Amino acid sequence: MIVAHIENLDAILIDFNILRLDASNAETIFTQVLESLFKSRNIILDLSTLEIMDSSGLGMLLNCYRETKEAGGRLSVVAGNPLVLSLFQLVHFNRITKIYKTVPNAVECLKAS
Amino acid sequence: MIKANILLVDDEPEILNALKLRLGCSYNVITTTDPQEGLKLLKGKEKFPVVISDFRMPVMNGLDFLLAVNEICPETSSVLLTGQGEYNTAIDALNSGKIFKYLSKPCDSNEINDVLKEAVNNFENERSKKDALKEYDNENRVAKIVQDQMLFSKFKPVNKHVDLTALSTPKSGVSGDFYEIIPHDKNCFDLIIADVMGKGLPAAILGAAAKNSLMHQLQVLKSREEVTPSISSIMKALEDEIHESLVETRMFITLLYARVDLRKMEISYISNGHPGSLIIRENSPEIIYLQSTHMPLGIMKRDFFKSVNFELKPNDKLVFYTDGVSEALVESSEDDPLELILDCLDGKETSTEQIAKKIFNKARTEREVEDDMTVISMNLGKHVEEVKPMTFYLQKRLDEIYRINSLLTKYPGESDELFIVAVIEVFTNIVKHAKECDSCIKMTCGVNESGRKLIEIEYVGTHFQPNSVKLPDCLNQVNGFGLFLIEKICESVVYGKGIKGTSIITLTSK
Repeated sequence: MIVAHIENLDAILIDFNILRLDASNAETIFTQVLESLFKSRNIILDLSTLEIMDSSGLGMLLNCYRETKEAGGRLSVVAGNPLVLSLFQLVHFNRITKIYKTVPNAVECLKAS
Repeated sequence: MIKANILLVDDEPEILNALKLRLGCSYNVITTTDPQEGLKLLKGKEKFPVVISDFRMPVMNGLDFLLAVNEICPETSSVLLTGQGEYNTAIDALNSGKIFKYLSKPCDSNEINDVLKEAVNNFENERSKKDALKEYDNENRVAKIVQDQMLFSKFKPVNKHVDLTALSTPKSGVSGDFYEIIPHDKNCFDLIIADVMGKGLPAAILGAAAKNSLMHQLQVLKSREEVTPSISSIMKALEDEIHESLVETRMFITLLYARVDLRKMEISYISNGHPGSLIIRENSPEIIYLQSTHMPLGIMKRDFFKSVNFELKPNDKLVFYTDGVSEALVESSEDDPLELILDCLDGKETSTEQIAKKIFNKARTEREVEDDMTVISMNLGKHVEEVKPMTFYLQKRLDEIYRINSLLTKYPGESDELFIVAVIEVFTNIVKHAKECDSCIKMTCGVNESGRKLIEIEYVGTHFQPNSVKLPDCLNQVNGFGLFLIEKICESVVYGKGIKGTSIITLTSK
């Protein structure tokens, strides 16, 4: 997992760089994410390498969403895998969070707002 | 110098003797007064370049005799001797090609010598022509055997549900058409049908070379990529290989390369100017015409080939033909070849052999074959992949999720990732929430009658019987999504009990 601060933008980019996010690793990864969450208001989660996810993974993302929202920030997610996108749709996650195809897209949108 | 044999037939021995005396020094003259005797001689070992017969004879007239001679030795030059008042008969016979020349009695020496010289020459010419033809026929015959046995596929069944027939006929001995079926596995195969513009040996040799090159390129790509290469890459490799030769010989090839994938029930194809390919759908008026996607090979080199896909349905009938077939059927420029092909069929055909034969025979009887003709007919049948059930045992540990994923991804049939997520959800729930669950968890995969995937998960421990789950509130909840996903993804979820008190959860894919 790579964490980067985006200059001139109160945002943190977290590149997960993992293939799976499920019950077997969701908790461990959330602990790592939690440390970065409070460093900045806005969070961009790069899940573009992700191929498999389950409800535990979804739960972790929802936790991230709530934490950022409570801090008055915004959560953006970068994802492209069809399976991951269909899971987002199934639970309507795409309705509460912006999903982008690439990191630059997400950064631009954040700048514009 | 060996004297040429001449057979003289006349019912008057005096005339025979006089002619024999006159011609004896230049020719080896054999005489008879009996035409039947003459025919017997011709059937013997001796060759007679010239036969001279009198017209007026008591048993058989000279013209009938010479016609019989022609039957026995077509290359023999026949000369009719006529008396006064028989010119008309002689001229008619000459004009209709029944005799080579006629001589009117009494004959002038010079005239008879000239006619005989010409007659002998004619015999020699006919014989060398016949020999050349024989040699050509022999070469062509050998080439045809080679082509039939080595270049045209003897189709082995690709898959027991797929019925396939190919018929091909050359314009002359060998054909510039070629076709091939290349199976990749029992559910995926390639079909190639091509037509080299031109006929005869040059077209056939080019066809053989192109096919050889195609098969070679396929092997090269397969060994390089270690998976089945895409049809686009095969076409590109083929064009790179043969384009220059085609330009140099000023020939071009129309070629259709199609890949039939029964697992995906899909056909993808590239058609380089190939005119005839269609899909006839069962119980539907819909006819899918596989239109040409590129220009014929040998015209313009391309950077890449883009394939086109069509969905296939069970019992689809695929018909492929070369333009020799449509050209034979078309009578005027207003005729639509596609309609004429469909007119050959009445929908009552029960096999691909019948379909191919009906089109082929109609085209053959319509007019004389102008080009090589090939028809391939295929019926996909009711294809249901046979899948053997698979059972595996899992430890009660969350990291077993990886193993579930890899085992289910490799399981035959269409890989359904969402369904795998549902299975993982169930497994996670058992690991997390089923108390007293110490033993292994048994997972069995199979396919039900309608082709849907079935997963049975058997375990010892708490029996779950959840109610129908609504979508949890994304904004406030982080749990409860698992059951929702399972229900949403699966066609059905059954929570049952096994014989020894085990719990069994059965999931069916959508």
